[in-house]
Amino acid sequence: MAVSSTATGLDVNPLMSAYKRRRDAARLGVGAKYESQGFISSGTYGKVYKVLLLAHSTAATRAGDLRGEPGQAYAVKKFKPEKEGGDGYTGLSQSACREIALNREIRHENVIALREVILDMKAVFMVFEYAEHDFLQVIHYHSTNHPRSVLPLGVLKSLLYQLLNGVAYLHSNFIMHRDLKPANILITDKGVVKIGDLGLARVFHRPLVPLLNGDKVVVTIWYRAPELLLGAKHYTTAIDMWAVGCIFAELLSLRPIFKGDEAKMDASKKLPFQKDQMLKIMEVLGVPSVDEWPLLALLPDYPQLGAIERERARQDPTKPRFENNFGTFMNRHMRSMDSGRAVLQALFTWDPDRRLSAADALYHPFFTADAPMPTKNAFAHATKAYPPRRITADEGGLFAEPAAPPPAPQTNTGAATSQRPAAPPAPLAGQPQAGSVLVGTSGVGGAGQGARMWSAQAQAQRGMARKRPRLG
Amino acid sequence: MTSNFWESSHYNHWIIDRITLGQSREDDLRHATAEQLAVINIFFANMIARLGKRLGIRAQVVATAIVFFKRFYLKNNICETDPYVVVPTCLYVATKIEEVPLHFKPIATETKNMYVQDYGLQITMPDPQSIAEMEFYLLEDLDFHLIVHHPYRTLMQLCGESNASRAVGESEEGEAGEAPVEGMRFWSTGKGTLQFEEAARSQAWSVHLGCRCAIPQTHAWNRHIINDTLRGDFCLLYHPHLIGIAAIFLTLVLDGDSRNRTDETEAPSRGYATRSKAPCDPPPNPVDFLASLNVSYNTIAQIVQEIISLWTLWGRHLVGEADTDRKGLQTSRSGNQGMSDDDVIRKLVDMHRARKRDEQNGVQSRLFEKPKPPKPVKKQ
Ligand SMILES: Nc1ncnc2c1ncn2[C@@H]1O[C@H](COP(=O)(O)OP(=O)(O)OP(=O)(O)O)[C@@H](O)[C@H]1O
Repeated sequence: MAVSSTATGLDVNPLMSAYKRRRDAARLGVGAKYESQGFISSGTYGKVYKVLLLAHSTAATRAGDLRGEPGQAYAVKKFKPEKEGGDGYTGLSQSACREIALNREIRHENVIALREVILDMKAVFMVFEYAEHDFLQVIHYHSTNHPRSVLPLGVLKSLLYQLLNGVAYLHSNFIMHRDLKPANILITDKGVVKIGDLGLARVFHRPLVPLLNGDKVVVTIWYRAPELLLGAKHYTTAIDMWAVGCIFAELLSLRPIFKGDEAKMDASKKLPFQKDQMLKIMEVLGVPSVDEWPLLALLPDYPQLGAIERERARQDPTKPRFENNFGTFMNRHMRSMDSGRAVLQALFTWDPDRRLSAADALYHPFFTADAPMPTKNAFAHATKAYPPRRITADEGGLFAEPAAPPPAPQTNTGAATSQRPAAPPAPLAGQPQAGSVLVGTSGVGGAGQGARMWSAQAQAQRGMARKRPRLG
Repeated sequence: MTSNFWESSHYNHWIIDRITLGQSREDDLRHATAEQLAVINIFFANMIARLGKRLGIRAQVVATAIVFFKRFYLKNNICETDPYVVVPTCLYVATKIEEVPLHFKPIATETKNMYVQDYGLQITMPDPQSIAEMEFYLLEDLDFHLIVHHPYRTLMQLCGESNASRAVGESEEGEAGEAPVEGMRFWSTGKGTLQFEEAARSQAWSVHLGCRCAIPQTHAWNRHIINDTLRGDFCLLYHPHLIGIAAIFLTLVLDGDSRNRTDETEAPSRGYATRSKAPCDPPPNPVDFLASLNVSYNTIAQIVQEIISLWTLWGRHLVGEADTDRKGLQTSRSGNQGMSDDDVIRKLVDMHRARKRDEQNGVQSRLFEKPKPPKPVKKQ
């Protein structure tokens, strides 16, 4: 019996016990359908495992599920049960709800496909098609392989094109991803890009509340668009396009282009202005002007820009001004890519309303006219084979009952670091250390707490933590 | 909700035909008449709306919760489950899906208050834990298809962009709408939209039914047509945009009708009174309006017919008015054969008892014999 009733006197209603018994009897748990291959990674919301489909479970279980092949590989994302004392039910986090709801509706070659959802042992398991690689891993491979090598242009262009294709699909379906970063963009062994992790994604055509109210902070800081940094309350799909620009740049230079230090939440729990991140952007792109971005002056944190400029003038009187150094970046990394420069520049447009859209980017001559053309197998032009994903021993984590909770990430033991040996030390060296804050949307927090501290752990390796509402 | 209804789980898996709907109710129909079952459905939709109102939740969230409830009972029998747990659970899940999350504890508290205060229910109250647990089962029975398309959006598209934000904020009881929001500009070209002027528009959602139907006029029957459709099976049988079009069509028809009756009608609806002064284009002719849309006239006519039948049925019974209204109605209509909330509550107990007896006599419930997902119908 998978979802069992507890002894807390829940089942006072014998009607419902009969109903539940019937449902429980009909249900197959993860362990009955899949064989665990080991542990892949620990994310903000759960752990991801690699599994193989058992031969007797290839059929779809419910309407909308996907068929499978015997032995086919899948990635199972097990959501952490939101602990609330005792071992009762705590309700599904909104992040999990979102990810399930959206993934059940969408189907696109460049978005990771959800095969099925399984509820088992009071936990939620999402079964995704398995992707052998991801952008971060490819970047890491090139930056650490000696001699350091750049991505072949054909590979880079294909990865970017397919990413844009997936983003265009999401946007045309009114979905903002809101957390695009190299670690979330997967690639199959056939060289097909698959956008993953829709846990922060949101449908934007019928927001019942202004977008800001839902999730106080979206997008991992290095990929966060200037309008978000400056406190915009309403934002658009353009925030994803900024992130795509950052990813493009990272594929070129093999390191994050705007690698700011995250400002921590202070005691007042007010969202801090991410000064260092803004500074890092300004060091490359210069200072945004109202000419280029008419609504700039209306943004809540606009005055902060002046403060950053004054501080700069004080600290370095020889170079009192922020210059646009983007040309230097492009000269270094895009020597033979004239049309590519235009794309990257258009993605880094300050004004979100004028920033290049995914749909338009796909028709840019960079992709449609200039050789090499993007390929369906992004690795077609690859000079070497990228190594497969590192899988570590499962240690029973996937099939473990929540009664023996996974090591609670409440304290920073650093243990999780070893869980992701393939994590790239080089491009992330000197990146912000643990201590990133995850804060529940107050009033709805599943833990019933206003704020909750977590160690950064795996996030420190895979990118930075960010806030998501945790609620039950 | 993704923009493309034709690729949605709603379209592909949750629009069913009448035969499938009938089959899903076979067990319940052993213990209740079709009309009683219809009243029970109205009762629970009202209950969800009322709970939503208590919690200050918007119409669209309530609508999603009601659709969840109806879908759940495509796969389950009322006589074999506890709808009093299903009700708050549907609302709990809907708040998360519609991005206005509430914790299940306040929902449980409010549910209890409502059961005691509004319904005088003497049941074991669903505690927070049972709602959290029920969520798992509900999600499963919904096949994890959680994004629901509503007719509201059709109204928004057909009535133009500026009206859209108003409609999205339109709530069960007509509370103030929301400010327009970013992102609206991504759809609705404004081309081919109906030009309702202010007054007619507000009327578009609420109609003075007293003018039209054989329904006692002692009661305020202004309702939102679309919200009304949630009391019936429309969301299981018809595409949301067709329901939306039927609602607009009905509004136009009733609007014209009430205009012809100005002299006779003592108290014309508020909307009408304003509109007669407004120097505006005449409202579109219903026939032209329908012709301008590429939809099946027969289907629209059928939905319209069924909405009127629903009103008629609803009018025969006393379920689910706001408390004071209900009392008023009960006195004014004593001797009526219709079911009140209390009657429904008693009927539910009877159904559960009857089902229990059946079970003891070895009568299997059919729904569980062959647990197959609902067969979708594609053509409409
Ligand atoms: N389908 C998949 N195939 C292979 N690996 C995957 C797959 N999905 C996720 N992973 C791996 O697991 C990691 C975490 O997954 P995901 O991003 O979905 O979880 P999360 O809890 O939301 O984490 P994050 O904190 O990065 O947002 C990914 O960065 C990737 O390395």
